[in-house]
Amino acid sequence: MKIKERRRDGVVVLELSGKVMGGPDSELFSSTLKQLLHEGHSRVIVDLGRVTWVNSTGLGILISGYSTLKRNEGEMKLLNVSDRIESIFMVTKLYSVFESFKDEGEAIASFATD
Amino acid sequence: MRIELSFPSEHMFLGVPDAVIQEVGSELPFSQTELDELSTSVIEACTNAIEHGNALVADLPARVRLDFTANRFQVTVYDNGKGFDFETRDFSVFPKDVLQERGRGLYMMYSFCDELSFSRENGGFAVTMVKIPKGASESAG
Repeated sequence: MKIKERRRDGVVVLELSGKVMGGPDSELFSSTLKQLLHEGHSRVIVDLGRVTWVNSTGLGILISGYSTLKRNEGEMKLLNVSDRIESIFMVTKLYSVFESFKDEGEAIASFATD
Repeated sequence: MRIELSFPSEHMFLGVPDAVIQEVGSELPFSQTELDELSTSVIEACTNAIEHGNALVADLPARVRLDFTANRFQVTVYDNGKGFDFETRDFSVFPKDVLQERGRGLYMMYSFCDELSFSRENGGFAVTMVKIPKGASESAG
């Protein structure tokens, strides 16, 4: 998994690419979020548009990130979830947890209305 | 028809069975959703095989056997571990806490496969997953 980071309107967009699974991905994502929180950024959009697949451990990584941000009064939202990953979210009921968007502008604007 | 493959117990190879299923499945009457569901289940099984069965010992291979026809795609994943108490587990039960970070893999496999079974053989453990294309099951009545 690779992470590309960019910032827009006070929100950090993390573009993930590749496969989100166990192993080194966990530490990479966790340390990225820790660094963002350290810098005072707690509004995060995770763009999954270039993610090939996610396994259950990868879901755990996303959930851990979500929980970490929540504990620090932040928020994590998702962008460009593929049909394949969306079906996993449906089966695991994670659609009820993560707010998901197809448009980055709408995702960013949603933080203003929270 | 059958394809057999094995790969070292390292995360970087988890995409291999997915690639094979997608490639083979594209020539069979499965919808993309059905292929993705089978692939997701097989990736879960392979993840368990390398992490739990083979304890991430790279020299211990995870083995995957794919048996497929136009009406059935069966994948069996083998590892060298002792497995788990599948005889007493109920996989249809959704994990209690939606936000728990682990423990949803078996439920995903159960939800996505038409058939799911486990066995101990040759000193190791095997998981067998089956997907039947909707068109095939409908025509069978």
